[in-house]
Amino acid sequence: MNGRIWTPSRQSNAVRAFMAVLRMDSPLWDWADSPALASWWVIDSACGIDVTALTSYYDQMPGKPEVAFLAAQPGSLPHPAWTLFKPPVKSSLIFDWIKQRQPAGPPPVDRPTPSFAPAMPWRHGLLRLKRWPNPARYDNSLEFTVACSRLLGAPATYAQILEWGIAAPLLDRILQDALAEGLLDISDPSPAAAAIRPEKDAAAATDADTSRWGLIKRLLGKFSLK
Amino acid sequence: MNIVLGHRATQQVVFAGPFGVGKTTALRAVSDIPVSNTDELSSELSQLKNSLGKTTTTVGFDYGEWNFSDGARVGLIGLPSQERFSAMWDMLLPKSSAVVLWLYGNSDDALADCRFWLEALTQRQAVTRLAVALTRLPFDVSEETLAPFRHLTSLYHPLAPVLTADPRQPASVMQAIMVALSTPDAAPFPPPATPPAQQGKSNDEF
Ligand SMILES: Nc1nc2c(ncn2[C@@H]2O[C@H](COP(=O)(O)OP(=O)(O)O)[C@@H](O)[C@H]2O)c(=O)[nH]1
Ligand SMILES: [Mg+2]
Repeated sequence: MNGRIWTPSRQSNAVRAFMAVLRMDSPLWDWADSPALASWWVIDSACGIDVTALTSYYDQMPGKPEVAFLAAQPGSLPHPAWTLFKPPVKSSLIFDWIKQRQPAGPPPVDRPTPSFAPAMPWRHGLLRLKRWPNPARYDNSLEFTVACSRLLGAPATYAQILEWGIAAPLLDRILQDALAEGLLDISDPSPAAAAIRPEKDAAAATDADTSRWGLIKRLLGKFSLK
Repeated sequence: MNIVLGHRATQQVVFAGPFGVGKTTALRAVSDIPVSNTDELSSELSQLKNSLGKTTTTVGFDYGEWNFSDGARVGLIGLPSQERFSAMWDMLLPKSSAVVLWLYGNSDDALADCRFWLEALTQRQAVTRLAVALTRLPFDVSEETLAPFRHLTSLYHPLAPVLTADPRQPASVMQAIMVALSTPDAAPFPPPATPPAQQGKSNDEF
């Protein structure tokens, strides 16, 4: 069994968040380009996948992968050997799922184990930005702006931020810089900490707020921010 | 404000800062219409000039616009830099949706300029959606350069962005506007211990 994951929808935020959680466990998890080369599949039912074709392919495989099926409806599991996860998926459930199927721990890969975990402390805690990083340093202005704006307003975990649609390499760069510059708070991701500042109730938004977000939307439609 | 722009634009983005820093340049970089000085828009603004009185008729502010497909317009305004035209600031700033404060990042006076403008903006309720944009610096300038501006700005709005930007480049100007607009309200965070007006006088810790 290897640490390679195949998915028919690598752009899915739920799939990316799933991978981000796995990489918290071990940096050696990686994508497989072909389903036959992977020991693990992650299928997001929201991505318009041909599930019938997948299940029959799966049934014909000699050595079968472990399959995580992401779906909102409990009754929608297409194959009894697969495991249903309801997004947003709790990281503890993913870790349990992996441990049950792979008692040996992290996937055995030939590369020497790099010391990623201590070098990327933001992948573990609850994150909050104290100030804006300098946006001029990052080339994707839209992803940068959305992620930083939300992290200034309320704390979130690394996996949650990935679900906002930012690419992991850009996010890692922003967080690494912010940490080095003293702009990032990392705290214990306990449920109590997560509940400190719940997101603002949409109904409580002021008129000024509404017109501000309206303007932001207009500008996004008008200018392709590079 | 409605006197001037009422039927044209419902929201305004304002550029402030010292003379020559690049406000007009930035306006030109992103405006959909040719940027004009209000002195040239006599018919459109005669009403305003009348309302402000004779002394102000010799100065105008720069005016540009974004036009959207549904017919909506957003005004882009470059403030006159000289304090003697502060009647214009009084009129234009309080209703702004966002303010970009442009500063000479390469000048020894930049922090003093920054404090002066932050005071002027605060007095006119214009720091809620603010970005402080430092010109004439490399984009990847060191954090040590930005830190004193971040600190000073935090006395007026704890989350306001400080960035490096080039008024000649549309993407850079848009970035400054976007981060100003996207800054969350400061309310959830504890306010600064001392009110900004008092802090401004005696802050020597940079
Ligand atoms: N080198 C350099 N020149 C700039 C920059 N921004 C503006 N300028 C130049 O500074 C001059 C004055 O700009 P202007 O927009 O008229 O300043 P305003 O008084 O703030 O409206 C123009 O010639 C601009 O091309 C910058 O970031 N770098
Ligand atoms: Mg000018």
